[in-house]
Amino acid sequence: MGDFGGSSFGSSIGQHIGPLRRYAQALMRDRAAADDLVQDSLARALSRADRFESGTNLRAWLFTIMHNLHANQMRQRKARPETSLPESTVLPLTSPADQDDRIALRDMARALSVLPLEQRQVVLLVGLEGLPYQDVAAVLGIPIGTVMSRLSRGREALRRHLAGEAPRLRRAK
Amino acid sequence: MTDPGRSPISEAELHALVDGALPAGRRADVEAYLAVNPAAAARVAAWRAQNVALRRLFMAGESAGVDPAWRTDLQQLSARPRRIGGGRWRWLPGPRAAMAAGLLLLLAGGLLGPGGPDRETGGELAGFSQAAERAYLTAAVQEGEAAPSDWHPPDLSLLGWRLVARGQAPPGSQATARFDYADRDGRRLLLLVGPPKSDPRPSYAYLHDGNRVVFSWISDRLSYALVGELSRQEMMGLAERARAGLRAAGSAPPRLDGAPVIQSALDHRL
Repeated sequence: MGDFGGSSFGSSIGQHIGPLRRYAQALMRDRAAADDLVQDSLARALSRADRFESGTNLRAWLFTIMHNLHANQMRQRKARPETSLPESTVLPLTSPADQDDRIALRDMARALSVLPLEQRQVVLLVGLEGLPYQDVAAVLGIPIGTVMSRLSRGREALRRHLAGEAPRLRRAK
Repeated sequence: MTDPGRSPISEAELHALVDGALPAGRRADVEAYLAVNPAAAARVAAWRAQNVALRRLFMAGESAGVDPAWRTDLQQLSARPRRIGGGRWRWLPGPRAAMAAGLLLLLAGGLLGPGGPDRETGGELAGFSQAAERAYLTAAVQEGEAAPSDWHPPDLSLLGWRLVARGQAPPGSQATARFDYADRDGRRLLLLVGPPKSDPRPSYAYLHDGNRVVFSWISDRLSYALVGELSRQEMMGLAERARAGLRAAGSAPPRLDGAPVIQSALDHRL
């Protein structure tokens, strides 16, 4: 058995809790469900600590575990399609922002929420988490070409969505 | 539009430019292409803006490492009672307890305040460890300044540690006594003792934070925590000594059912 718990492996995992949780919330738009997913992922990661090869990318490994758990959940919920959630759950802003800025970010949240899940995953892993393309491919278990096409479709969908709403954003100061 | 002799710019390369994943040798080509393709340049600009907006929307700092903005959220996460209080993360004795302890303490992250989920042993230990670590980081009571306590401090001099202060337990924690020790090299050791709020099973938690180690355990119907910058082996020796040597003021020696807890902590490679 390697080092567990409060020692190096646990500490290493701890450094990734923030990004994991951020991604889960961005992906799921429901804080409670996202937290459950992160907790389940961490528990699974710890229970499988001996399967992690040191020297490989721990962050990608953790995201992979979380992605697989999430995919299982999605399969189980297939009969119950995702519904749009209240705006409060997709706007995690806590610091006061400029009004125009808030509207722009809210529109981004909306645009993101209507993106198909598979595109949302790629856009978030690349754009929000800054994962290299090959890590995204590994996490999602898809070829890198599929990563690129989903990224492209996702970003274009966001752009069109945001461009369509742009005139409404312009406000006189 | 592209110069003859150069390979055409692919869509993937435009994304790679946005994401900083473009090979350095190709960057000039892509930028030259964008200079004469305003539509493509507009898309690239929009994608860049998306990345910025996403990071602001979800308050992402640096992708790597712990984002300080998450500390508050971690507190919420660790304080969620559904799992920690009564769910799957029930405190287990043995090596799994050590793993769970590490995770729980990671989640607690030194942030669980009084009133956190402490009905179960896991919450008890997490809260107690956190109080001990916080106490360790605050100044010790001046040497010789006695504070009322229900406990006589254990004598750790055989292991090279002398008592330098005894003081009030941190306010808000369930600890009732604090003892500060030092060794000849000037290293510090803190012992915190107090009754658990509930009546939990004997268990332990072991936490590293850099060089700092917090070992906490529940035995003899008491919560103990030791904090110091020392090796695990040293810590376990001190734990056993502290447990055996602690005496309630004006009472009989403590029961001895704590030894197996420390022994099991010693037996498992943590």
